[in-house]
Amino acid sequence: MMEFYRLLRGEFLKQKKSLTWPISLFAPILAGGLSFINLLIRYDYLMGLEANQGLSSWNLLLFQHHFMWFIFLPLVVTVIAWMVHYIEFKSGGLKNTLALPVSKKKVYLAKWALVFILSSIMIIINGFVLLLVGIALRFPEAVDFILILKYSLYQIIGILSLISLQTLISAGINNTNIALAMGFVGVASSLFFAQSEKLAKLIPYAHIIFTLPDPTINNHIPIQYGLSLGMAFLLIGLIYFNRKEIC
Amino acid sequence: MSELVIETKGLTKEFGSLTAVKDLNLKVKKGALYGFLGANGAGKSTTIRMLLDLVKPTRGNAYLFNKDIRYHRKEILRKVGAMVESPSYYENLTAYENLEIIRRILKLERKEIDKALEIVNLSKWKDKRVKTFSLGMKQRLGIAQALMGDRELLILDEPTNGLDPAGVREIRNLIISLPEITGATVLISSHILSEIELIADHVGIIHNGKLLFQGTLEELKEMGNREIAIKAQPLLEAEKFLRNKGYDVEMREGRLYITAERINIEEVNREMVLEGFGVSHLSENKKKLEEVFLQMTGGIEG
Ligand SMILES: Nc1ncnc2c1ncn2[C@@H]1O[C@H](COP(=O)(O)OP(=O)(O)OP(=O)(O)O)[C@@H](O)[C@H]1O
Ligand SMILES: [Mg+2]
Repeated sequence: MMEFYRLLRGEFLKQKKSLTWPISLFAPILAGGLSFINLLIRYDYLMGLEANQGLSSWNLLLFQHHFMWFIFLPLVVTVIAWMVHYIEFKSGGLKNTLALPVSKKKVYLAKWALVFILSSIMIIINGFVLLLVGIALRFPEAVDFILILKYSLYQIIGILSLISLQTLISAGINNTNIALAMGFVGVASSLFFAQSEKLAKLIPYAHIIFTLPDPTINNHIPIQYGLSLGMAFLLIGLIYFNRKEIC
Repeated sequence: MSELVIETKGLTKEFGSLTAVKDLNLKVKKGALYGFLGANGAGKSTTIRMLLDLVKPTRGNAYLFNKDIRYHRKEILRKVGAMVESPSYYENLTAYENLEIIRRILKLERKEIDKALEIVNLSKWKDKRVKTFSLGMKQRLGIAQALMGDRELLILDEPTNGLDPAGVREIRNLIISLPEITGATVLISSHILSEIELIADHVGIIHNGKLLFQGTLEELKEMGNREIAIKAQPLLEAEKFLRNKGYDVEMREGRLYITAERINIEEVNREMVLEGFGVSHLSENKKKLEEVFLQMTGGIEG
């Protein structure tokens, strides 16, 4: 445990002065800002639409926000996962780290954990920003903490599968740029996969789409499959990396 | 018999149909400055990777400190500092921060960083980002990383690769000073013979994955044919005499040269004097190490 913690601290230090932090912090603020402008201009119009009858203002905000965020979040997480691995690729691979008396599995796990922590921070900031947007727009309803909490929690769990998959691909393919390209293609086609629930369950890129708390959306997908596929890909990655030859 | 820090037994690595390292029996004694010499693609880096458990041997074993690296990886690596193939560094960080990562992972004290920076002469630049470093400085940072903590064995893979002559010299002097400063056994690989000649006291020559020679630098110099130059009177008779004795004789510019794998120079002198020749000059032309090396590696390919 101590060794893992030390490796993780090393990972954080590597990201000093890199773009990972600004991106993680700025992405939800940007997305929230766009949602604020969207509702500032179109609140009355959107509330008047028949499709939105019965929705609270908070529900409307999340609905509107989600249409952008379900693509935005996986894309940014893919980029962050890529950056975390690219930094090793650029520095000549992990060979000199793995020549240290550290467990290979923990080296892998520390990378995974860094991406997970950054993603979670992003998701939590996103929740806060939504809260602020609602308050700034002076919604008539009371603040719907539960809704935003659920939304954030589903995402933190739902993003696991994507993180584990991208980490596996990045570690498996020596050229991390290919992992980035694969992630982009996956995210770009996620809406296509989401049309079939069966398919969506097995495609990590699509899990985030189902994180909007709403009776018409199957929130079990990110919880069950985000978690199980996330753990499965993590385990495969650990076993694979532990046996991988470092050239 | 002194203690062995590295010993490999039948170490072999195959990449598909290519045998990168073949049946290697390396022996590195404690306290040695061991030069691991071989041309590009000879199998140096692959061997070093197997020593560090970065790749698994196809056959054979590697023992460091008398323990098999496959089963005692962490315990062994605690005592080993390494730079494999090229130094690795994070360009966005300073030299100090790069070492700080290793310090954190190895749980060392802060002063270890200053010590390592001092040894490789980077203290002045410790707060500069590595991005701005010259290749030589990056190489020195790589060595500093290997020095972090009290390492008993340092493995440096081509530490002078790509440097200009001044840079090569600086790294060379640094490496020569390492055993004394750190007390560590040092293995350094290179494809440049003259460099190994200047640095190492023990040499291993690898060629096409096979170890052709292993021993001290002195022993290496003794290898191959020796040449003796003789000035004697009367010259022609002397030539005839030596030829009859079975020596390989050549006459150039008033001198006789005999070459053979083993020649006893005193024996030659005695025989000639007893025969009544006036011997005015007798000397051994030390074969250049380069010739020995080329003879050794050339013979295999031919
Ligand atoms: N991962 C790999 N897959 C396939 N072949 C490899 C791999 N790594 C090394 N080789 C091959 O093994 C041989 C030995 O390579 P190695 O890197 O050990 O040589 P070297 O002595 O370090 O050479 P150099 O001076 O160029 O660094 C080369 O022919 C190389 O192409
Ligand atoms: Mg090499």
